[in-house]
Amino acid sequence: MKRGGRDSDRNSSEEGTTEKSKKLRTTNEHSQTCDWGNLLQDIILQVFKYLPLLDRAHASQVCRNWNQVFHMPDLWRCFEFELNQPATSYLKATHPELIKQIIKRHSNHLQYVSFKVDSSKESAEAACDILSQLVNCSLKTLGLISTARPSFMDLPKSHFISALTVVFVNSKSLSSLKIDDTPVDDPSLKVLVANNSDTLKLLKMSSCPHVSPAGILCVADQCHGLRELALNYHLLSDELLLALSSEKHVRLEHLRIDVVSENPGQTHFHTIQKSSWDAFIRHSPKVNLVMYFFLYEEEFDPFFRYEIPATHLYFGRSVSKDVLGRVGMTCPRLVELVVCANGLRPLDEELIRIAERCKNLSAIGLGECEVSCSAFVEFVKMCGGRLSQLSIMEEVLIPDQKYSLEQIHWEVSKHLGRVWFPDMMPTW
Amino acid sequence: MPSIKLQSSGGEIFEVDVEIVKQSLTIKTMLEDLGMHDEGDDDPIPLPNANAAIFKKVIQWRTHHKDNPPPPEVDEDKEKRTDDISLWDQEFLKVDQGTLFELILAANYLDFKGLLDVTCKSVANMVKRKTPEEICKTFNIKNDLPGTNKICLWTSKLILYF
Repeated sequence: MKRGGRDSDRNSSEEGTTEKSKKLRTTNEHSQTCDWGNLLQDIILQVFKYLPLLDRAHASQVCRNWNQVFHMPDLWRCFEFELNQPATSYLKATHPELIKQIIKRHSNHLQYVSFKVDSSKESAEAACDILSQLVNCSLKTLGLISTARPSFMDLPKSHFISALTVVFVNSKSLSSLKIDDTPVDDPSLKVLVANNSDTLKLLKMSSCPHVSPAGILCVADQCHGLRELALNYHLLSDELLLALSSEKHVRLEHLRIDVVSENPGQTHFHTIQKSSWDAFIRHSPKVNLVMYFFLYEEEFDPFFRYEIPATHLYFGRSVSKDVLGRVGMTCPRLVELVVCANGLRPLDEELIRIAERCKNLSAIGLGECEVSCSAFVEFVKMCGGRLSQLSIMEEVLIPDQKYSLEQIHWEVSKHLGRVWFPDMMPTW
Repeated sequence: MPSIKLQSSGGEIFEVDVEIVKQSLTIKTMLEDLGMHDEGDDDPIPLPNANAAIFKKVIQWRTHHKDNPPPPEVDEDKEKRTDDISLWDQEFLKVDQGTLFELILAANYLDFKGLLDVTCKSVANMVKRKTPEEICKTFNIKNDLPGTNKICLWTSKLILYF
């Protein structure tokens, strides 16, 4: 890579240019000087493809030829609109002038679009404003991402829905859609399905309170190519699992379910029949079933009563010893387990059971819990080298007669086959 | 191993291994158009757009990379990196600007995508983090944009925002 020195030699138009350019002519064995400004546009395009937006914008100001390349459709296929209010956010934002230019000159080139909005209502409004102008777009992917508090939820629902519908109706080839934490509703999902059922492969809609189980069922029934789905537990139903497992439906690769309770004891969680899970796993034997639990201890009653095909489990709030015991009995496919907090009774038996029965477990993280050192060593011995991730907070491990804290790291490292230390801070 | 004769713009003839130039769509097309096959035919294929010096460099690059498959198509929505040029390629590209320019043109003409990619990456690295004025100076480009100051205004605002 060249910088500075030789370049400035070449470009000093003041002294000795004739001498120097004569030299270069003989070295290059030809009589033309290199005209970077008038390079073939296709070549400049290749260079521009390697430049981030700001550098491209600078390069576009260099000459007319380069400016024309800046506006070639290929460079406007992907765009991330960053919408932040400068008064409340230190994050950078896409310049309004640039947004205007994009809508005016490039809206029909856009294919992969995302909106990153901060917690202010103005930012969400700005996003909707842009969305409703994307009339000439045929988007393949659309992502609405809230970087802080979900500001899309602050908007009047109809305002949001009409903006989103513009995209659903005009795109007709949406493959990936991320609309978590938005006021999307059943009718708008119907519009999505009516126009994009052949192409939809990924749908992420966690925390969308205005959607009902019937709404998401409509998606599963019509979008047979759906491979990845993320939703909240209240949308999950036996019918949904069966629809995802129908013969016409492709194998699902990834299903993420968020089980969330706002107020302790006030949310009633329905049950799913074992036969529905059985049909689901028969149809998609390699699926990742990821479940995030943000419940209060007393709300776990309907869960882990029979075998379910969960592969990744995250317990965001305190989860009881009893529930963890049930996890060991009912989740043979478990690959990853994270427990943020538990009561003050040691989880020795529960961990051993998980090591025995979850033969695919390769990652575990423990936060505010307690495990005796002996039980922990036993656990690691049983899992052995298959544990690629072992994130245990230091205060979890309780020294006993057999092991002290100093000895534990050596024992565990021995059984893991690599150097291991407990963590000072949670890694998740 | 079958070889093929190629003639640069200055008339110099190069005999190269067919394997090395096979990836070039340009050369392949010429072979088919002129009704030639890999072995036997003695007439060299003329390449009027490539001079001998650059041709030598291109062959040198292709020879080093002959066992590499052509670069795969990157997903359209993934960002393209410029910090992954191999050490050998970095050394190879330590040339004066004129040679780099010729290499790009030759790679484009002969349709050697790998060489075009790496030379374009190299130029991109020369453009990054420069103002328009600095880019003009580096590449000796005359700015023929009308009302430059006005157009620059919104890009300079872009800078302030970042």
